[in-house]
Amino acid sequence: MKISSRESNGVSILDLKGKSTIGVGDVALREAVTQALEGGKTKIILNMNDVTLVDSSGMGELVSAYATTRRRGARLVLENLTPKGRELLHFTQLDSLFEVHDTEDEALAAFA
Amino acid sequence: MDFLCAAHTPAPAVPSTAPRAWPRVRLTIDRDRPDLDAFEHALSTALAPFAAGPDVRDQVLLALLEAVANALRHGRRPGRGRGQPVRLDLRVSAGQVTATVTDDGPGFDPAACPDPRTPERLHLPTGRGLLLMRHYMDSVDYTFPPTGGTVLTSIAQSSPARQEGGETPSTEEDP
Repeated sequence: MKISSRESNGVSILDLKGKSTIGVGDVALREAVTQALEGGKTKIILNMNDVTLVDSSGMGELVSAYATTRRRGARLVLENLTPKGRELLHFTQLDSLFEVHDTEDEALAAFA
Repeated sequence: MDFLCAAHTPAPAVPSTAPRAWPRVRLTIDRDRPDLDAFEHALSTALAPFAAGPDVRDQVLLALLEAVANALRHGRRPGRGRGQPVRLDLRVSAGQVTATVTDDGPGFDPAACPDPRTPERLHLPTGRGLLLMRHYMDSVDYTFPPTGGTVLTSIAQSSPARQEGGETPSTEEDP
């Protein structure tokens, strides 16, 4: 998985691209979230628009990222999930854990 | 009750028009130095004849990778040095994928697998592999030969709904 970061109105936005599966991308997400937190960011958006495949390892990384941000008093939300991504969150019931927004405007507004 | 451990109804018989001699493919992956990218590529190629939509084929691919990942993680018999490679045997037709994953691990009790969706487990980063397999495949069954090891047999069918809309079968009711 490739991850690039940008910022908007004090919110750190991580654009995730590719697949998050066992052996691929696991460290990238962990490192990107840790780097944002260590940079003092307390508002983080994961842009899931270009995520093509997520397995149980990838979901585990998302859950770990959520736990890490909460532990540090920060807030992490997801945006732009594909229909497949939404279905995955739904049947695993992780949609009750994560704050999910359809668009970036909505996600940014939630931090306003 | 643990939904993960519920018995699964065997998949319906293959229509009589299906070819009898399906292509058989055996893929192996080294336990100690697994090249997952190469394995995924080979598996994706082997699944090409499966006439489902690309989303469904991706889901079957993902489910089988989960099965192999589980075998790599847990399928080593204690006390043995270098483990046997994990084997994935496939029979792929336009209408059905039948997969068998074999490892030489100590086995486990599928009935003891906890539901990762319970409030006390929802925050844990692990334990969702079997849930994904059960969700994306039509059947997932484990057997434990008396000689040891674990054999997972899993079937996916390309139902009309799957071909058209990439839909997946619903997961069993929550406990």
